[in-house]
Amino acid sequence: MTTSAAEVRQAGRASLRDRLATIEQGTLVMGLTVVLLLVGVFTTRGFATFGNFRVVLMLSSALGIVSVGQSIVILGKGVDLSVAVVAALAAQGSVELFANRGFSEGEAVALVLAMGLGMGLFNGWLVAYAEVPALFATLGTMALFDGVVRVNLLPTHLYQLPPNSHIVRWMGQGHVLGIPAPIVLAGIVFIGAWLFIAYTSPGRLIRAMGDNPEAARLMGAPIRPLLVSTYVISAVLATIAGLVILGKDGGYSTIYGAGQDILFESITVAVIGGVSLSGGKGSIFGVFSGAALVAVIVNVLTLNNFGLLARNFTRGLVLIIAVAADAWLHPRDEETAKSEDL
Amino acid sequence: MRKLCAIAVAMALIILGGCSSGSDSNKNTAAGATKDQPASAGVPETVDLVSVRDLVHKTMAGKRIAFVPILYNGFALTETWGHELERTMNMLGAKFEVHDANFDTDKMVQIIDGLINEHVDALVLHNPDVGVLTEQIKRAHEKGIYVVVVNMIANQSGDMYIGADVPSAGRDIAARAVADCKAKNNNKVAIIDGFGPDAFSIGFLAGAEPVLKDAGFQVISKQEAQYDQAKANQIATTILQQNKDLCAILTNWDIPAVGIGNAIESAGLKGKVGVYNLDASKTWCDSLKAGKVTASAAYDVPGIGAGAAVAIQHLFELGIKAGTQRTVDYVPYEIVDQSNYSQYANACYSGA
Repeated sequence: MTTSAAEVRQAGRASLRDRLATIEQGTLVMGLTVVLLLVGVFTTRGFATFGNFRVVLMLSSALGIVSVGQSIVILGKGVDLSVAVVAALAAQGSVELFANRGFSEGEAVALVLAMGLGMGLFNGWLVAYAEVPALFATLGTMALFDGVVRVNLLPTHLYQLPPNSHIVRWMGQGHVLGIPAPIVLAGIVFIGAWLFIAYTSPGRLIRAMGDNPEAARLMGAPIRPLLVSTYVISAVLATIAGLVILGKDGGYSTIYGAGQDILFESITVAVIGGVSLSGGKGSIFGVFSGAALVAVIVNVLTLNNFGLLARNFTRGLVLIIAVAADAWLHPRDEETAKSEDL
Repeated sequence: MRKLCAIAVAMALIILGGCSSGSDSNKNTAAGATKDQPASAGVPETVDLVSVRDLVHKTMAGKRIAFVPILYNGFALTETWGHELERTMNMLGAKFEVHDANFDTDKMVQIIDGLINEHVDALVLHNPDVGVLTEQIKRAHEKGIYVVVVNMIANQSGDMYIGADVPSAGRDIAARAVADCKAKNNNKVAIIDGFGPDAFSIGFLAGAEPVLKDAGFQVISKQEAQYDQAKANQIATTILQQNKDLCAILTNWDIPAVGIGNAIESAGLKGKVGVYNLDASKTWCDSLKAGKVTASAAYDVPGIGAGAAVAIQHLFELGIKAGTQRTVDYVPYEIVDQSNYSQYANACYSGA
């Protein structure tokens, strides 16, 4: 039997896609990040310095922390639209409690962590037990949390870190063995989340639940408590991210809608890194890759004096390319839509 | 006999015509005034202080004045204006109300449309960019509603604009930065502004950029931080990493200036890189005292609120038809720094 040249070419094309499809998206994205790093090295003055890489890591630490939480929720087939609000309320609430309400800084931080935990529990309860779709539940709580906390606790939209702050200041500006504390905290979160998802039963069950909730339930997985736990993790990590931003920037403003970008960016990072919005697919390494790619893009654009529109355009374009590439590499049909790795 | 009757009828008609035109002039003496406009053409040439006070109060009594800022609760800038307006309008017997758009431009447009449909007597608007309220201002004028625009000038003019002369303030703060940098033999600066198409950014750049260009200064970066302290901090952190020999960063508002000052301090460049901006709230003054920011063109924020209150009285007292005569009115500013900030009432306002 002879094979035509066209059939040989067709086979070659298919095998390239098949080869790429076997590579995890996070790895592909990390490869793209390395390429972009090389582009930056050769085109951008001041890019290839230790100081700049340190700045890139530091500025993306808080985003990375929020993205990990968001990704865990998405892995479980959900989404958390309240992360930006939780981060803002935590940061501003801590200052209000510490500077104006007579609490010590430790007490203020503990109280806002408890507040974040409570918000996560409420989100989880809404989705898991009240069975409100995650999109609508967290869209509602985004406004609910903001309204309730602002009316009762926060008289203003702008808070500056008090000069006598130690804990939050360390979270944003401190060092551990010479490494900036935000980078250390983000590193702990990434490593902890990777271990949790890859090597613990709850982590694996969250992925299973996201992949095929019915099968996971039949396996005996405690679906509802697992769902709640994903939202609690997301809210607590958003709280920590808010405190890191407060400590790093010396203040937290929600004037003119500031601080809302972190919601879109956390979802962008997750999707770029290969965490599927349909649940059950993705890895924490992918989230790290996505965060690294976004951070490098923003850094290269800023150093080359590209303005806000160019940065937003590029971020959106990268997201679309990532989603399109995922669809090309992993075409969906009835069978793959129902179960993948499981 | 017939002649006498005709003369009597004519006299009666003349007298009646004179009475009715006299009563019309009592209500609508101002040129272009309509039945919806108040019956006033300003105060008489000679006044009695009690009766003129009664005239003003009568003119303003019951008037519904709506203030629609882009944000109100917890925002010192607009709360300062709101409190000035509220005190004045309450004193005069007018009904003053604030509608907080909470940063949402769509919501702001809906609020204003609703107020126009309810036929409020006057709108005080703080618009987020130069074009977003064009249709609303036109509609308000068609319905005879006065429009006073505060601090962010719009392409579609209201009856009066009260605010800072942003291009001039931008020019003067840039000149201050140029002077300070020339003393250090350094001509490298960066600019971080707001959204881009907003009045403050456009005006600031129109004033500052020619000064920098004429002085031969190099603008190594120009970025938008959307008036966000965190974004300004991030941009400044990145720029400073690339340009450790930067002399100054110019920005068009005090809150991003605070973020930039924090970035400079974190980079270990406090005192070496100056921060120059417009506006000087208490938050900015705290940063100034800590040595993190350098100088500001501090404009009279409370004066804008007082000015808006005066503008409203002016419009109603004269009974000018809405949308027919327009003015732009500036409040003063001063360049303040550590040596003089406590001397000027414009600086360090807190929203009270």
